[in-house]
Amino acid sequence: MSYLENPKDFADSRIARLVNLNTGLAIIITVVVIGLGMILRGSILNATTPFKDEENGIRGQIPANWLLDANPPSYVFRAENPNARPFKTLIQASLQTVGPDANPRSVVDLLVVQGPNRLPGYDVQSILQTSLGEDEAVEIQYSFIQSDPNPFLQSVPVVVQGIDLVVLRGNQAVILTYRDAVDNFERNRPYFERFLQTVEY
Amino acid sequence: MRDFQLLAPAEAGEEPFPYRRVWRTLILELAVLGGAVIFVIMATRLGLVADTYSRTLSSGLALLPIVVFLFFSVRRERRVLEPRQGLIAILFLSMVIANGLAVPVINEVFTPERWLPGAGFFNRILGYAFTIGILSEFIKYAVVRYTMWPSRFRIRLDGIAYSTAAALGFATVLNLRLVLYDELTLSSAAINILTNVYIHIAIAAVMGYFLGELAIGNPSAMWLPIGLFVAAMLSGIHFAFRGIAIASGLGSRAIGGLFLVIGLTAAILGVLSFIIESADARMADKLGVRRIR
Repeated sequence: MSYLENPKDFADSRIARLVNLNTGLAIIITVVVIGLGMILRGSILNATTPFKDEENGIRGQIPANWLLDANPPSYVFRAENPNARPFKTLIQASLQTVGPDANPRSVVDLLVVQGPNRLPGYDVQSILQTSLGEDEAVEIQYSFIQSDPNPFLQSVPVVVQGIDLVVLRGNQAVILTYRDAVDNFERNRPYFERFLQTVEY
Repeated sequence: MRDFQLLAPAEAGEEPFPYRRVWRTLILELAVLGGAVIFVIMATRLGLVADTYSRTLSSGLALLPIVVFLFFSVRRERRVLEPRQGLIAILFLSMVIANGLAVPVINEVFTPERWLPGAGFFNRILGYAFTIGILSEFIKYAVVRYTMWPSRFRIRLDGIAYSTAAALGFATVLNLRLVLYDELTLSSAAINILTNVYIHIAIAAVMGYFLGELAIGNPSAMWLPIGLFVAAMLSGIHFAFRGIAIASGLGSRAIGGLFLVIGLTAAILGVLSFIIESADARMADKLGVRRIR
């Protein structure tokens, strides 16, 4: 005798119950595991690390695992997402000395004038009166063209969208910047919003 | 007239094995793909073929596993006494669901490129296993479970045969998207194609074993959930170690990932072969039947 046919009788109620249990639990475990995966994803994406610069008086929470660079006086700090493509998502804080009668709007006007010299294809899209905590602030949204300086890479230029948020602190303007490729701008903007919620200056 | 008699009684004729031999054809298919990929790598290294983006050659390489599957597996099914039905249907159903469900969910919901590359080693294992891993394995499992199981399951190896067909369809969709959208160089495309096919087949074979055992043996109520979890974890472990294998100082060496996936596939298939062989032997002893090999 040899067994060519499966000896199991699936019409048997005990076996049918076992099969139904297995199948149902397989679906449940898949849903539960994917749920856990999404929680893990959220915790990794939203993980932050503290940044503190006592000398310039700026502190805040920046995304974990981003590359941090401090280069005063050009900027207090610059955090970049090394995995972002085609443009490394950037959050930056910089300081600019201003006169005693300056206001955030006058600093923004200066940035608008300087923009084309600093960033190729600079184009202002909007200027908004807003606030940061209890302080008056002005937000400027702009775009520019980012080209790779290495000609051998033969990469296509990227359209970058940016925000500069300006608040005054004594005789200094604090400029908080967020930049990303235009396609990823809105998706990654929560990183900047979370930074703004924690920044102290 | 003299009557000749045999000194020993004639032996009963060996009963032929009525099914396609799954391991043999699977190893042949993997070997042919491996040979083709090694040929492409050598040809690009020696300068016989330019190592640039070639949509035609890369697409041909992405479709090669299906051609080889049709030649070795499907063609041989027609020559055996008890052919397995529906292998091509499983293959195409898996392709449709992979393209229509898995790829959009991975790209739009899981977005692994945003958080997995920067995560730590254990987070990479869990993160990949709990998102892409479990989704991929569930889809491959469901394609077999809700079509061929249990009516077409006569021996444990049927689980391997159907699951690897589903895995091949799944991997082919990933490979076609890779070569059509990512514009990889020929050698890089070849390595990625082999990696996708090998790892999806190896891990689907794990789920195939669990499905086969549920059809033939007497497992517990947690059997399939455990199988899905094990399969998902294996894919997460492969993903995390692949990151280490291809990283080399400041550069990268994709060939490290190639060796890793070949070793892991050989290990998984070897262990499964041993387990299934042992389970079949135990069952034959228990039922008092003679095994046809």
